[in-house]
Amino acid sequence: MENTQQPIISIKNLRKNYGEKQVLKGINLDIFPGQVIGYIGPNGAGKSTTVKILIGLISDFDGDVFMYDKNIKDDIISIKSQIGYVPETAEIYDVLTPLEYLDFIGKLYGMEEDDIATRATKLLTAFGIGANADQRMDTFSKGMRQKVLLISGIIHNPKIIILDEPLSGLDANAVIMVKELISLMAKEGKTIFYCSHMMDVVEKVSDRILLINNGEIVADGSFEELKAGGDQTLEKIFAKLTGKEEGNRDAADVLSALS
Amino acid sequence: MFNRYIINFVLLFKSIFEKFGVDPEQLRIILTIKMKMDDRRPNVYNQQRQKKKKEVNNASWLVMFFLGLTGLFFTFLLASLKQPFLAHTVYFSAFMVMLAVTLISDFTNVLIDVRDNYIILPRPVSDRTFTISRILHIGIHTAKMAFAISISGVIYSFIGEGIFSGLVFIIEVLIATTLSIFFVNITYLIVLKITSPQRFKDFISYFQIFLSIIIFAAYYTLPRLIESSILKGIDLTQARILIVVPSYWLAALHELVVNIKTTQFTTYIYAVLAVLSPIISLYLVVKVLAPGFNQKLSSISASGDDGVIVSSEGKGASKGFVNSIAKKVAPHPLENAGFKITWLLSSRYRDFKVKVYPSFAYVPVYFVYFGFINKRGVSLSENWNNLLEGRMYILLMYLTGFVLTTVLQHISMTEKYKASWVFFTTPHNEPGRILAGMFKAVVVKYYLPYFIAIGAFSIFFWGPAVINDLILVFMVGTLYGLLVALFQVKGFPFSQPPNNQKGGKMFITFLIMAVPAALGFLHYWAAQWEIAIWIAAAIMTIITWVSFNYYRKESWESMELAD
Repeated sequence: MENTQQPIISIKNLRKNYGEKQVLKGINLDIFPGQVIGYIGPNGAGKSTTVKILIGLISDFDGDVFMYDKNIKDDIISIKSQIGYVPETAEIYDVLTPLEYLDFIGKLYGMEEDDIATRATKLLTAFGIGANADQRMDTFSKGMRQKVLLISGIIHNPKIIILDEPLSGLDANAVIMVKELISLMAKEGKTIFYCSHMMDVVEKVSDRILLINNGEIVADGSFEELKAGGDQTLEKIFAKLTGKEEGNRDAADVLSALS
Repeated sequence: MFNRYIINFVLLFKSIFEKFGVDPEQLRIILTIKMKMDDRRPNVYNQQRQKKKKEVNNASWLVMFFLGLTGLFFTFLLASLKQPFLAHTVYFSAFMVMLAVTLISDFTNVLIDVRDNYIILPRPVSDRTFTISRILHIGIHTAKMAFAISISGVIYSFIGEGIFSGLVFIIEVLIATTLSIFFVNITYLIVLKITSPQRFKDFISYFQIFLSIIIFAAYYTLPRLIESSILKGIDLTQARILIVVPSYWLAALHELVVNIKTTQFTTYIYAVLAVLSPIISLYLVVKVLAPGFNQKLSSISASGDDGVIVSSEGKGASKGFVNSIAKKVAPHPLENAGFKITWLLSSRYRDFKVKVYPSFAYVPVYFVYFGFINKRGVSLSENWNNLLEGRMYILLMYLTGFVLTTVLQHISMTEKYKASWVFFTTPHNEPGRILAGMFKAVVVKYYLPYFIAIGAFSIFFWGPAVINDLILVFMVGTLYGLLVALFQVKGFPFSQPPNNQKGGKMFITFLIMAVPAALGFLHYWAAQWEIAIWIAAAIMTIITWVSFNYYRKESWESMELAD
């Protein structure tokens, strides 16, 4: 895919150490508007760290990260207003009702109270929990909370959206809805970062797949491009690139431990 | 390591267990692991180690140590009250209350652990074994606590009053312990019958609040009361009302056994009651209460999932009382967000309420302490008249600042602190605004109403001349609150884990406290000149306003995301 546009996110030689351990060993990436990036990798590979750096939760790193041509170290505030972040089943102040919580978040995004209320009600209804808009969230199921979290990540209409396992806890209908939502948002020119362990979803949803292992990007391309290596599923590609092709052997080990 | 000996002791009764269909080996396994978990549990005494992320391994010993200290205090009471019945009645009342309080808090979280339903019950363990393991766990736990509290009393009885007295004392302790368990059990069941599981948790919290207040008041007033004229006149054998108090029965038992020749007939009756009551209550606990008990309790702990749905009925986030106040007091969007979140969360987080609400009652207690108890040989009404003529109201007003600072110290802490990640991913550059909103909420919600109440009280008794003092004190209190907020409150509202106070700042705490203390003394001295007070009030208002603006401008440097 040729891109003559400017990259919306540009990461140059990003490194991050936690004490002795080097978690990110030099990431170089250019991301263009309207792309849906599937960001995958084994646990501990550096996925969450990259994400946290992008949204400004970690400000102590080496290398440069540019968004809209601005270095995030210079102007993190205006950048935060353009990004939406939905963490994986994160904590929320669940003694609040969805409307109260969204009012709070919206105000932190600098939105007007009435705008927040209108948009929040519409979004809650669209996600199917309009009837629970005034109920305290401590009795909500995991799926309902996840929906509120999703809304809180997009309520300010950001141009870049980072989703971390957004389908976790959602039932089949909601899953279909969110997948459709992602593709609609991409068509509108929004850039979506989709982190997940669900290989089959990532296959179908992303334009471009980034595989990170041990702090380095080891694969970068569309699913078709990656398949050219001979494997038919993303699962297999993942296993090969992260050196775990012997998944079958591990499983056999478990069984032999039991006898 | 002691746990092993305790469990071995319990398992001496193996044959009895087997006869009842309980598997002793499974019993051993469950008890061992439960006691190990008790030892590792973080509690209010080992926060220091917890903070440094070191392993906690002797939590129960720590708790026992502190209970032992409390027991020592009780023993002191025992020794200093010379009247026969009084000493034991007071001691055992205190003992039973202390034990019941410790048990009630532990019951809900420790002793009835919901996770057992998922971890133990799916495995091949019979219901009987499981129930007995529960009962034994509770029993061992309670025995440890009771032992810690009573040990000093037992030693005192042996040494001070002879072997015989000591032995009887031990029996009294056993009876008192059994009765305490019984009472806790009964209370739980009654409350459960009346209310729903969700309300029950609220009940426990309010009960804890109530008890903290009582203990606080007792701590301050009892030592004085003992010496004062009030108590010397009491001869308990005449007090009808105490008949229903079990500690009275225990005292009777002691009296009977130790002074067998001089006791009255009525004492015999009470002593018999003392011996019978534990047997009856044990029977009731095991046969009647225990079976339904566990199910009811597991429904409490699990009630987070399918409990009562609380709705705010269409108010959304823009209507209602709180919202109108918020709009008027904190119109700036960031301040508004900080204001509302502080107000809403402080109303709804139970752990916050339990820590903060008792401070409201501490103020009257302090007032009584400073105003009344210190004066010896003066009757109550004389004392009151003296106060009215003096300037004690100033002290009362300054004490209200205590409420403000207590709330501020807890406002940034909660168990669910992780939800505060949103403060750091949203694009706002004036965190001070959020803090300002938080401060306003605290003042408007807690300090102002309480101050108005105390103010009304003062005006009623001391006349309208105190109005200028009220203004001055309010400003000083608010200024003190601002200082505390600036230097001691770290982070956004409800964004830090509990017990996260940085202890090394004791010096700063005292330094900050010096400000209102000094101003208070000045005020007291200057209160005679009304004009001076008015001027001071005006100056203070300006200073406070300026300080508030400074606070509002606080920047990101002091904000940290708690891991």
